[in-house]
Amino acid sequence: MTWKVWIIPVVIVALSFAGLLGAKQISLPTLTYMFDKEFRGETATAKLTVDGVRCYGTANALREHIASLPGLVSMVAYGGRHRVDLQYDPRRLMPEQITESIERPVSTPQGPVAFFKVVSVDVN
Amino acid sequence: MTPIRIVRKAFQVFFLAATVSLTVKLLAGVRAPTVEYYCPMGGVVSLWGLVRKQQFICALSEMNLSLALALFAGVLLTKKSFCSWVCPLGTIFEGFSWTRSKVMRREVLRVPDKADAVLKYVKYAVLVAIFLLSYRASELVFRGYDPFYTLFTGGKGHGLIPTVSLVVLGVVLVGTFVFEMAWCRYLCPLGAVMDPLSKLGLLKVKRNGPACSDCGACDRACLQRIPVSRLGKVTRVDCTNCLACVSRCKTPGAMDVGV
Repeated sequence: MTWKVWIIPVVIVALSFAGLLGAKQISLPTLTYMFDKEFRGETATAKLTVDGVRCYGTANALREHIASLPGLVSMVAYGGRHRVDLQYDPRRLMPEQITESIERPVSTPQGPVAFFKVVSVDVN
Repeated sequence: MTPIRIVRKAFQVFFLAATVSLTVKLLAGVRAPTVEYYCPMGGVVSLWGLVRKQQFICALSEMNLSLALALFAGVLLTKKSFCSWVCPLGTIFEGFSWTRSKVMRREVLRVPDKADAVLKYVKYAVLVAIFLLSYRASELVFRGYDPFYTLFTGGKGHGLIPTVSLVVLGVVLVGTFVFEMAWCRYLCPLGAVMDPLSKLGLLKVKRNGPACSDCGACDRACLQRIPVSRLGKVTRVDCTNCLACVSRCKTPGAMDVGV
């Protein structure tokens, strides 16, 4: 047995760090959806951190939850980061209305339940 | 015990402890990622969804993908060393083999060679089923049957199926306790993913024929039933580079690793 056996633990340690740190370099969406495919006007983007969005299912539930909001153009959700980027028509919609709509409780047999909570909003 | 074996055991204990800490946090109600967040199999399952729709399926994220890519690189460099150095289930199942042979003093049962040769292909069928069902449903449908997920979420993971998940876990644990490394050999879908890449693995066990005394200690040490003493280079896909054969060899210069 020579020094070469030690290559294995060295490779494992190096790749474990690479794998954990590499996740921060990748940004891919969990859900991408166009609410208004025809819209050609100027849009604003609200980058929200939403408690309750963690996977495809919950992102899709949020999409359905806010779909009736007039002025929404598109939605991109990043489940792992609990982040939702919403493009909207700033002439028809305000960020406060978006937050209010997201946090709106849903009627359930047990009474109204709010499934989502907006933790932060960044508008540009 | 050789230094490399001690280091390997330390790696196994570290990764098992890290995984169990996630289980404890989940059961204690602490807001933290579950084992699913760090599972490289999730990254593998997400690949087709990313190619087709440029989006992750279900609860998968960049972490799963990044760890899967690191795993692929690892297999290309050091074969399936993930299985014998990192995988918490592999560590538990090695513990089973050790308990049977050293504590209970019972002979480790091995599936007969003919059946073994056929059963080894079952894991590829499991892998194909996971891919098809996951993509069709955009859901991690396998997680209800995944013994790793059931065990390390303490039976409290999201998407587990009442009773069924625990029964599957029980069958896998008992089956692998009775038959050496049965889960890894016959059912593990991540092992099936790694197999083709493992064939290309750079660093492999090598036996120096002229120096070898043909004592067969390497064959007896191998948990994967590889007849090391009849090979020059161990290119077999099931080799996990656990180095048990190299550590057990008493003949100087007979066993080493190399490209």
